[in-house]
Amino acid sequence: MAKKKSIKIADFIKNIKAIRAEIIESKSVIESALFSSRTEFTQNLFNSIMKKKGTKVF
Amino acid sequence: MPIGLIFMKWNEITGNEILTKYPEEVEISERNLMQIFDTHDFSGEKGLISLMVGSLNIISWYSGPDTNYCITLLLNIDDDPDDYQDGLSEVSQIILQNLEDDIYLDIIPSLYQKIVQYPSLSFEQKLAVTYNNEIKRSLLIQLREEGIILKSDLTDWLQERYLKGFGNLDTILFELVQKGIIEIISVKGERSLVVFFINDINMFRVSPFKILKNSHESGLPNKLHKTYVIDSQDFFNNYTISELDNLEVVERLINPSFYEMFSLLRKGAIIKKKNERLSVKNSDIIRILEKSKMIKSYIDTEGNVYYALISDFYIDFHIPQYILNIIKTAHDNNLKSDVVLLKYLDLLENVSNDLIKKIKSK
Repeated sequence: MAKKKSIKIADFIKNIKAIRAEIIESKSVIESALFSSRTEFTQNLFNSIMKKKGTKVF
Repeated sequence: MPIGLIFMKWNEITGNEILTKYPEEVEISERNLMQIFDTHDFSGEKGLISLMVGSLNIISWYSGPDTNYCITLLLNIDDDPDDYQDGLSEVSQIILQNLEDDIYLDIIPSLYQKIVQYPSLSFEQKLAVTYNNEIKRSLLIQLREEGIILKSDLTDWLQERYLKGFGNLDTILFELVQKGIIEIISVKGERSLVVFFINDINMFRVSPFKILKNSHESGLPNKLHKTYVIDSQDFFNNYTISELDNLEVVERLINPSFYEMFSLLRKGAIIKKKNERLSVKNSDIIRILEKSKMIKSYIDTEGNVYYALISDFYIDFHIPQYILNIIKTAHDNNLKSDVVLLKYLDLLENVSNDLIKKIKSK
C-alpha cells in the first residue's frame, strides 16, 4: 500500500526550492524528493481523487 | 466542415504533384496549389500555415524543404482553421509514417474522418488521441524517465527505435509544446536544444461518484442500486492502475460510438425494456464495455435490463512532481550540468505558480 503523501503544488514548490538550494550551495538539504517514482505519484493522485468523491467526475 | 484533403509533393521538374486527394471529386487549380506551396516555401519552415487562397479557406502542413510534402485541408469559408490544427498535425504524421508501399492510400478516408471529427472532441478525448499515438506516447515514456533530453539525442533515439521512420520530429515536438507538455530551450554549454518535460498525462479509472450517490442518480431501482454500489466498490477494491488497461480505455474514448455510449452511461444507467432489441452496433459496444468491466448489467423483476457504469475514467495533465527525484539523482551523480538542472527547476516552479494562479482565479 503506497504511503499517503501530499500532491499539493505548494509542497512541490517547497521541494523545488530545497533541491535548488542543494545544487547552488552544493550541500545535502533533503534526503529524498517528495515522490520516489511516477507510480507512487500516480497512486497518490488516484487516492486523492477517489477520496474527494464527486469533485473530479467528468 | 472541411471540403477535402490534398496530399502533394513538390517535384523540382514537374512542379506540384498531387499524390492523392479525398474525396476524389475535390477540385483545386494548379495556380492555387502553387500559391499554397509558395507560402510554405517562403516561410521555409516545417509545420502548419493557414491562409485564404481566392475563396478557399485553407490550413496546410508542410514537411520542410528536405522532403517537400504538403498535406492541405480545404475548409469552408466559415470554418476556423485553428480548430483543425491538432487534427491535421496528427494525421500528417500518420500519413508520412505510411509512405512505404503507398499504405497511406488505404487509410486516407479514415484519417480524413478523424480530422473532420477533431474539433468536436472533448478535452479528455483530445488527450486520449495524443496518448494513443505510439510515437508521442514513446516520447512521453522517455521523458518520464529522464525529464530532460537533448533534442539531438531524442532524434537519435527515435531513429533507432522507429527504423521505418517517425515522421517529422519538429511537428511532434511543436504539438507537445503547444499542449504545454514540454518546453524546448537553448541552454548555454549544451550542444543541442534541450527538451524539458513540464506536464505529464495521468490517467486511471475512478468511481462513477455522481451516479453511485443514490438510485435517483443511477436510474436503477432501489434494490438494484444497492447491488450496483457493492459491485463498483468491489471493482475498486481489486483495481490496480495499469498501462495496458489505460490504453484499452483510451482506445474506447477516441471511438465516437463508444464515447457517445460512455457519455450516456456517465449520466445514469441505460435501460433496455423487456422485449426491446438493441442495434447490433450498440450490442457490440455494450459487450465490449462489459468485458472490460466498465459496465455491468442488472435485470429487474419485470425483465428490464439496466446497464450501469462500474468504473469511470480520469485523464488530465499534471506537473510531474516525481521528476524532482530524478533531478536530485542527476545532481548527486553529476549526470547533468547544474545550469540545465537549475533551468529545469525554474521551469517547474513557473508552471506550478501559473497553476496556482489559475486555480485561484477560478
